[in-house]
Amino acid sequence: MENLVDLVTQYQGPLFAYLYRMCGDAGHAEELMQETFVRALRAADRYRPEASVKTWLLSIATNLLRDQWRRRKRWGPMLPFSDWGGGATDSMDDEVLLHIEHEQVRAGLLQLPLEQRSVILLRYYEELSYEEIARTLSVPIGTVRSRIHNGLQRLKRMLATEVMVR
Amino acid sequence: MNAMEELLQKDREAGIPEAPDPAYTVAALKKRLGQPAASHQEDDVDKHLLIGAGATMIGTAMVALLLGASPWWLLAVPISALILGPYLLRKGA
Repeated sequence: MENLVDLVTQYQGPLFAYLYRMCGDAGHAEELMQETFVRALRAADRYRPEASVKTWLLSIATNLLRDQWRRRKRWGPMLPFSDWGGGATDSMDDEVLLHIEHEQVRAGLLQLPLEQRSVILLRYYEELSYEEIARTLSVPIGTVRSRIHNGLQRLKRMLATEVMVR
Repeated sequence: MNAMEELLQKDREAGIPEAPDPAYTVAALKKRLGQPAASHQEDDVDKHLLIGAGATMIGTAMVALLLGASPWWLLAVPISALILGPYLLRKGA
């Protein structure tokens, strides 16, 4: 594996972005990013070259987030977003979604369950393939597909409800 | 689902707060990774303290014996060690 400076220079950006979007707080994301690097460096002998360094780091970061999630049960800082009542349906016209601002998307993502949030971020923000996501999260590809599908549906309903409430 | 994907794309393009300076992260990581070495040093200090305290007690007992004190006085050494040992071994004591 690369040395510390190369590792940080090359992977800090995507790792920080992923963690920031997962937790919604830059300070917390930075703390988690450092912890991810520390864990990766301490477990460097367990790294297998068949996985890319990026997916390996994202895997460690996700496990870290999952551990914290279990301990805290919920995230502290959340971006403002009105409570989702589930009033909108799946068949709601996509036109409604055109009125959504990206800040609301970000807030909506933070309301998703951790498992759905992580697959959506890995797929649409980190642009990992389904296979890479499955390897990163140690779950079958079918699970990745269903989590993405359900996560997008849920996010869509939340955002549509948000537009209706306004 | 295309509308949702477009929204996610828009959010992605909007960016996020800047990541910390890599040099700062590297320095912070070096400091964190150096911590186990520091605690090893602390362990060594504790060990040396214990050995020093034990040697001092035995030396004092030997001198007392040479000066004609009762050999029973030597029992004070293991008893003191039993009492003081946990305090000396405790980190930060």
